Amino acid sequence: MASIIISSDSSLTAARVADTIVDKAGFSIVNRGILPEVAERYKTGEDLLSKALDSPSGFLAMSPKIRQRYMAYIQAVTLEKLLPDNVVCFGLGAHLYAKGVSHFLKVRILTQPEQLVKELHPAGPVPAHKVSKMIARHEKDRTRWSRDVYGRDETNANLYDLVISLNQIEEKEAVKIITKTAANRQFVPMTYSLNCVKEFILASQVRAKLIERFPECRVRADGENMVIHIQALKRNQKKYASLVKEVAGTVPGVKHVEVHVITDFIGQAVESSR
Amino acid sequence: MSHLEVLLLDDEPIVGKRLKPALAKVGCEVEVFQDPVLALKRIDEKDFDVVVTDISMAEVDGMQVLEHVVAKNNRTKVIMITGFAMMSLAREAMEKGAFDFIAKPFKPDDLRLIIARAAEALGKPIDFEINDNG
Amino acid sequence: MMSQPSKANAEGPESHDSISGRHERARDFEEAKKALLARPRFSVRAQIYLGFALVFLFTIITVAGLLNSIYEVDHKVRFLETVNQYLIQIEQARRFEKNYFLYGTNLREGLDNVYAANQILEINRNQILSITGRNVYDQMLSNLKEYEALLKRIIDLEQQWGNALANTEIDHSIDVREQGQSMISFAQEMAAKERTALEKSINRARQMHIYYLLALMAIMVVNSFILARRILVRIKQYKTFAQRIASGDYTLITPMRAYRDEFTELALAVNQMVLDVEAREAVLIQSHKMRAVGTLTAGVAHELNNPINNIMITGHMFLEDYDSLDEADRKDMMQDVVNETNRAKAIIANLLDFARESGSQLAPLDVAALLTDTIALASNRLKRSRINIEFSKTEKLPRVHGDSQQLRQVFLNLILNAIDASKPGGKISVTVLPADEPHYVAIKVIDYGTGIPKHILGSIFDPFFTTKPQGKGTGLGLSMSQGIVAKHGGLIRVFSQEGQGSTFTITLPVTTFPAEIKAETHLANS
Repeated sequence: MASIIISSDSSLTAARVADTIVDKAGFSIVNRGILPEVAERYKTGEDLLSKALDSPSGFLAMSPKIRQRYMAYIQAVTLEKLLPDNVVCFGLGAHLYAKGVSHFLKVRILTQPEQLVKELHPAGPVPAHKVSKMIARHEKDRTRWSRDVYGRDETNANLYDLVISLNQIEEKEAVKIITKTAANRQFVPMTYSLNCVKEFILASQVRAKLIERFPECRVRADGENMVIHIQALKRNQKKYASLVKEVAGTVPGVKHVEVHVITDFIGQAVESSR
Repeated sequence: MSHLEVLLLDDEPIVGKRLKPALAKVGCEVEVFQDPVLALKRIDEKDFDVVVTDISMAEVDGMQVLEHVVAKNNRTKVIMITGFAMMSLAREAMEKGAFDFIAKPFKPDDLRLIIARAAEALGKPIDFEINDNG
Repeated sequence: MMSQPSKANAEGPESHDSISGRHERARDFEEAKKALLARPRFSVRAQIYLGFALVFLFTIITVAGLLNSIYEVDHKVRFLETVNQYLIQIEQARRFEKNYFLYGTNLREGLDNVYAANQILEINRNQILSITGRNVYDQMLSNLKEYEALLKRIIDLEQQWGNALANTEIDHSIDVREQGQSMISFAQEMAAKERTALEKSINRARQMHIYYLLALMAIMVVNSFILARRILVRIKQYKTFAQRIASGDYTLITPMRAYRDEFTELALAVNQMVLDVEAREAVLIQSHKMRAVGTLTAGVAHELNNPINNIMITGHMFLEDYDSLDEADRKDMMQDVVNETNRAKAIIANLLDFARESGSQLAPLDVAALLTDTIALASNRLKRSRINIEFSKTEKLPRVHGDSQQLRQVFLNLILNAIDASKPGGKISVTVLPADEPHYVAIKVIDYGTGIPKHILGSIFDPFFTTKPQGKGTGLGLSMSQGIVAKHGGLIRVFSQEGQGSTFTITLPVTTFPAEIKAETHLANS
């Protein structure tokens, strides 16, 4: 059966819905419980990973580059956990990077404002006039966060297969809708979609290994073959290319590595801004 | 061990030419077609255990073949192969009742594995070991 | 639609090269610049100044003439005054003379008048000389002297003989009277003559004013006419330049007159602009091409999967069954691998060839072959949309002089548009045949799709006009195609009926008559 990726403006809601699905439909769960494993594998602090996931973007906040790095670590492990079917995943940003896999059902759940406010401001009641402001600000923060790290807006409905508003549909009903949809035949895993996930995992693992040294690197996997783009000055081209090859080769499952070095930064910038 | 009846449809002649012996080796009886119209005719005549079809073909495409097969015999496992693999296409194929969907290029063993699974699902296991690693 | 691009085009190989042809274009530009600047300069400003100077000079001459004639009149008036005074003195003298003879009064007072008259002549000598000349003056003077002498003799005789000598007096008196009379009539005649001369002078001055005004007007009219014509003709010319450039013909402006002026600077600026626009267009064409490549690449990548799959299957089976295969089978399998590799290579080569950013060369092209290539390039798009393409060609068509890459881009553009317009399972016809006009071939791309609504048919060639959803089309395809075709001396026409489909027809001149086209170009420009 399908795997379900849940995204919500409220993390508590996402967690609650995910738990219900696990209880009712026999899915297993992937959530922030994997962060210690990520921290251990990539030798970093769990608190930093949480910060990369949650803290709002801004002037004094964690820089997008650093954030991307921690997210690359999280991504590598999360995707691995998504390989078996019947998984519910939330709170790890998977809706932003697990794309193009036909058996991933991506769901966006919109919480009721009162609930969201309670979550954002647990200390006590919030004056009515501040509610909309608070929600707008939260939304802006999340939009900015997703843009900073993945270049897309997580509030964009196009990212999802299913968008459910808890203002209109009760949570129980929502869970039913989700599990029912996940049981649809088009979300059945197949050789092709499983291969897609495997390629994703491989690419993410290679990228996680490279990202500290090459923050701009782009990695694509095609079966056991990796195509990697990095940026480097012309004189370092050869040196870095062989370094990347060596590092990527240490990831199990990688057979062949192809490295493209982009030396023309400005030209690249011009190209991409077109 | 009973033979698994397989129809293989691809407008690329080499696919049929090479896969027929490859599948025969694991105990399949394979009929190869390049023309989807002829293949459909044959499907009408005979119940196959497994139909392997390419998606992008002139005249009739693989989706139509899939629909035709499912409409005729729900038991037949249809495996889609395509060079134009996309998520939307994969979902469409599965929704229409395909057994599996595989992107080109694939290794003969990839297809054998899928057919072996189909055979197992049919209760007619073939001579291919499914050592599941994915 | 465009205006007569077949005329305004095909300057030569250099004129429509894209990026690497830039150097050649720069050279053309330098040549045009040299030719433009080599001519002697006669600026509009100079012409204006010259006109004013001419008017000023003419005015000075006229004013001088008028001053002169005023002076003349003045002079003559003074002269007449002098003659008058002179006459008064003579007449006075004659009155004394008369009284003397009648009443025997004193004649000496008459002599005083003669002296005064003489004095008048003396004082105004220069004046009289300037008008009458020396002869007249001398005569007047001698007459006066004679008269004076006669009077003196009478006075002398009277003193000698007293009043008795009447006989001799009578002789003398006759002489004196005659002399006085002749002097008066002489002076009066002269005065009359001068009076008519004075009238003439005044008349002349009057006429001079009128003639001056008329002449001034004539000069002004002629000068403004020449000036206006010069400027207006140039403005008109630049209007046609602008239209020509807008229609995609980037022929540089070359000298058309014997001299250079302010418009030469404009011509240089326009040439520079043409050069820049051209360079920018080349970039635009390339980036548009890359977009087309982008839409094709996805398809081509998929298209590649088929030969690669064949190679993969064959390779794996070759390894697996190596021992049990006989020689013929092995050979057959390897032959398949080789063939499929070539097939993959051809697919990539075709795309790369299209995408290549290269200074294109102009060459005689086989349009039918070009179309076959282009259709192959679009084949997977066609396959995916399940559209049948029908290609028909007339055998042994003459070649077309052009840039294969750019024309391929135009054809691809039309075919991709036709695919977008067609319903899945539809049909597209591509035909190449001799055009109705001699020395042209026509390429028709016909779809049987939605057709183009009448109200937008007029704007489909406009840049940035698109009916595709945002982000899907640049709206540059057709306008760029039109530019490319215009550069080749051809035309794109469209015929469309809503709900029935559209026909795009490209006509291109064939290669056998480049000289003629070139000659026409020069005619059209000069």
